[in-house]
Amino acid sequence: MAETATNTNTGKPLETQEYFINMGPQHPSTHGVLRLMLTLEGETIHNVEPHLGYIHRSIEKMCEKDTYAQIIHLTDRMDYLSSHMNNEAVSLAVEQGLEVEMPERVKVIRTIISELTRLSSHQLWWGVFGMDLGAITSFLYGFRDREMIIDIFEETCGARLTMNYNVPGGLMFDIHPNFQKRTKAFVEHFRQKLPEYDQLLTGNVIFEMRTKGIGILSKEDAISFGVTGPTGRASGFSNDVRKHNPYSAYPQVEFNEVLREEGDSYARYKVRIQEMWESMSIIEQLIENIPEGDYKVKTKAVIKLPKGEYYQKVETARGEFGVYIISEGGKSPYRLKFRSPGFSNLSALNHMAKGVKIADLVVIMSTLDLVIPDIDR
Amino acid sequence: MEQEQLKERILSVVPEAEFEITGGYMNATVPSAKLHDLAKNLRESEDTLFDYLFCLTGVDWPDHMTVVYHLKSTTHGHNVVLKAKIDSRENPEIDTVSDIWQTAEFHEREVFDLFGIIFRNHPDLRRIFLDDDWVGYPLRKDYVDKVNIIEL
Amino acid sequence: MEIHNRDQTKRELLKDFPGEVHEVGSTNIVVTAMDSIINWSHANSLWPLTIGTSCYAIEMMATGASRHDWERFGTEVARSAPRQADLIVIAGTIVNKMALVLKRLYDQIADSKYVIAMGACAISRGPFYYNTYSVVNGADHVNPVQTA
Repeated sequence: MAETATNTNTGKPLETQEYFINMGPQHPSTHGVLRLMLTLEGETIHNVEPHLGYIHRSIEKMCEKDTYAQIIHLTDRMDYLSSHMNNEAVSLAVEQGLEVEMPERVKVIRTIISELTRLSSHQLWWGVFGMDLGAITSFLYGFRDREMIIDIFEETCGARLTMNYNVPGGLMFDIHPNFQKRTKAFVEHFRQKLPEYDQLLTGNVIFEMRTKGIGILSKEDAISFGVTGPTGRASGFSNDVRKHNPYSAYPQVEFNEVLREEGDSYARYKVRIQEMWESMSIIEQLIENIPEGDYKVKTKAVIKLPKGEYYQKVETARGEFGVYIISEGGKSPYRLKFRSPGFSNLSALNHMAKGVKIADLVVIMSTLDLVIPDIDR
Repeated sequence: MEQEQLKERILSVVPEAEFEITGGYMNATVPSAKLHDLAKNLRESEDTLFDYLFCLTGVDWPDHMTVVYHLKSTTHGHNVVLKAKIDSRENPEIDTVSDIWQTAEFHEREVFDLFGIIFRNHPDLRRIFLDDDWVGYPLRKDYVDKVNIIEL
Repeated sequence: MEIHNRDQTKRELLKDFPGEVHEVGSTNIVVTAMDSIINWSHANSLWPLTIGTSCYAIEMMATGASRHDWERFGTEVARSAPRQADLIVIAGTIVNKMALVLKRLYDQIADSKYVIAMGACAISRGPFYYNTYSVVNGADHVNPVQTA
C-alpha cells in the first residue's frame, strides 16, 4: 500500500499520484465499443468516466423522417438482444395512438416470443459473464442452448437476431406450424439444463469471492440513477413493467417479480438466473392454449397517428425501455425519444465502481449487462 | 394522489402552470425558470415523493424549446410529466435537475449534445455522443449537414 | 470469393493456393475443390481481431461458439489486441467517431493483413443510409477491405 512504502535511501514515504488509463473502445470486456477513462491509484479505481458515441447512429433523427412501419427496422438494431421487445414498445405506442385493440392471439404470441427473447438474452449474458471471469465453459453452454431458441425464431420469422416480427397492428406473419411443438420441447430441455448452470458457477469458490460484495448499489441510488431491470431489482427496486404497467398477455399469467436486497454482483447474477425460471413458467402457461384468430388487424398501408403524445414502456431483458412519440398528425413522428435502459444503468457505473480494483470493474460491467448500441442509439 | 389533487398541488407552487392530459399521463407545462423549484418540491414533499425520473428529453418547436421530464413515485405509484418551456431558441438555458435525480446528469448531457440546451449548474456539461469539435446540434429541426446526411 | 485488390492478392495466392484464379470483370473468381480449400485454410490459419460494434458481433460470437465452431476451419482464437491478429472482422456499423479508432487498429496490425467487412452496415451503411449524420458510408472508406 502507498502509506507503508518508503524510499530505502531517505526513509521517507514514497510519493504516489493518480494516473489515467483508457479502457476501450477496443476491449473484450466492454461488450462493444464503450470507452472508459479510469482514474487509478495503483490498481484502485478512483473514478470511471464513460465516453460514449462510438456507435451513435442517430436513430432518433432517422425516425423523424421514417414511417411508423420503417421505425421497427431501426429499433431492432438498438438493443439487438431484446429486439422483439423493442419492436413491441413501438408497436404498442402506435396502436395506443390508433386506438386499436389487438386480438388475443397476437397478445399471446407476442408474450411468448418476448419471454423466449429474454431467455436467449440471459443465456448469452450468462455465457459471457462466465467468460469475463475466465471460465470459457459457460460460454459454450450458454450458446448451445441459445441456438435452440434461435432456431425457433428462424422458423417463424426468418431471422435469427433482428426479427422485425412485430409490426404496428399485429405480427408480420402467423407462427410456424411447428412453433408450439418446438417451444415445448425447448422448455422441457432447458428445465433439465438450467440446474447445470447453477452447478457450473454458483457454488464455485472463486466465483463467489469475485462477485459477493462487489459493486454494491443501494435501493435509493438505484431509484435515483433510474437503474431498472434485473440490475435494479437486485437492489430491491421493484420496477418490473410487466407487473406495474402490464401489457399484452402479462395480465393473464402468474409470475413473481424477482427481488433481492443485497445489490451486489452476486445478487444481480441470482436475479437473472431466477428470471429464467420465471420466463419458462410464463411460456408454459401460454403455449398450450394459443387462441385462434387473426394474427393482425387491418391498418392503413401508411399509418398516420393523430396529433398528440404517446408514451409506452415495456420490460426488456435489460430493464425499462420507453418510447415517447410526439405526433403532429403526419406519417412520421415529430419527435421520437427512446428511453433506453442501458443508458441509465451505465450512469450508475461510476458510483458502483469507486474504490474497487480493475478486475472487479470487469465483473461490475458484466453484471450491468450493457449493450452498447442500446446506450448510444 | 389523484390527478385533480396533483393539479392543485402544482398550481400552489407554480400558479401559471398549464395542464393537458395526453397519452395517459398528466402534462404540466411550466416556465423554465420555475422548473427547478417545482421539481425539488415534488421530489421532497411526503405526499408527492416523485423519486424516479424515468425519461428526460428535449423537443425543438418552431418558436420555442421544451425539456420534458417523466416522473414516477415508487412509493405512491403516481406519474406526472413536467414540461419546461424555454422561450429562446438561440440561447436556451435552464437549471439542471441533476442535484435532485442523479440519472439526470447523463440525460442532460445528451440533451445538450443533440439540442444545444445549456443546463446551468450542471457538474460536467460536455458533449456525450458526438466529438467535442462537432458543429451544430443535430436534433434541431433546422440542422443541415451537407457532408454526412443523404436526404431521402 | 470476391477479391478487390486483384494484382496483390493474385501474387500472394499463387504460391501454394490449391485452385485457379480467373479474372472476371473487375473481380476474381476462384475455382477449387472444397476439400482442398479446407485443407489449405487449416494450413494457413488466421487469427482474427474482433471489432464487434453492433448486432453482427453476436452473430460472430455464435460462429465461434458451440454449434458453428469456426476453429474447425483453422480460424484459431479470436484476439482482442491488434498486434496479435492478422485479420480484422469488422462486425457492425462504423460511425465517424469509431472510424479513427478502426484506422488506428488497422495500422497496428503487422503485414500481411486482411479485412473482412461483415454485414450490410459495415459494407455500405445498410439500413442506416438515409438521414443519418454520423454513419460512415462503408468501412472501405476507412481502410482497404478485401472481402465483403
